[in-house]
Amino acid sequence: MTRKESGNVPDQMQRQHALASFLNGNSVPDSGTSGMRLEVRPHYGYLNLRGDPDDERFLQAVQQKLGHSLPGVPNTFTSADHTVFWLGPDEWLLSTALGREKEIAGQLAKNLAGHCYSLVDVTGGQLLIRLSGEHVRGVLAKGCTLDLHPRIFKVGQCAQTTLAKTSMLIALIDDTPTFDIVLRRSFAEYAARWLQHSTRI
Amino acid sequence: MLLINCPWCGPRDESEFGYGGEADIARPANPDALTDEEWADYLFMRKNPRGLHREQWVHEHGCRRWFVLERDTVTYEITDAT
Repeated sequence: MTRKESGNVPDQMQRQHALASFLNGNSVPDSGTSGMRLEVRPHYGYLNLRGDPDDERFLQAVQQKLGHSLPGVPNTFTSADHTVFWLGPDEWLLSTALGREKEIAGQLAKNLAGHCYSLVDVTGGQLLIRLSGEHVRGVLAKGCTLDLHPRIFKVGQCAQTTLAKTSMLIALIDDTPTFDIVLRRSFAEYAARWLQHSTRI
Repeated sequence: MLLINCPWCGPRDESEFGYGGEADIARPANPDALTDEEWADYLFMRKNPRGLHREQWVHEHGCRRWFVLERDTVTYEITDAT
């Protein structure tokens, strides 16, 4: 079966983040009422990179493109032009400005030719939410089993864990505290509703 | 609820993990040479001990790595993670 092209298809499909309709008409937590501010940051592209961390040539080939090395310490992230999160001993998540991921993926693939690696563009599957304010730790503690106390979970650390009934990648950006959480796109509204509910006393 | 020490991520809540049953079960090198009893033993029969048990876990909501630990099935105490 073939489908006829319609003359009215716009040149570019409009990209809409997963919470666009949720935020429209829903009150979201803000620092004035709950001590927590929720900010959707959809302007990132994501690449999932896997490769052998013991292979010096692999690490160099990646570093050459990124300008800094992949985080080797478990559950940490590094930030420069791009942010690279440690996901596993041979797996990283790279986030960059939306639209740049294709160029980076192309150049990484060129640098990594001949190596054993996996590089997948996962931009469409993620959504980053930034949570900040004095009560963030208290809100997250309602649905996250991780110990987020400042003595345990420090700036520069990240972790993949659970939030209520979904999973997330959480990273501590600064001591405000500001947390970035990366959610599965299809679970973003569930997580946002959960967060909204959890800020109520 | 168990607190399980992931070799990569450190102590995490049990809810982040999946259980993979008894550890150290090697697939027979030549399955065709086995009798039905031997094959069934490999497939189905497990030790189910009272006491120390070596078992497989996967950190599925974390780094997604498999590892082996030793747990006491009576006290639930985890004695060794490798």
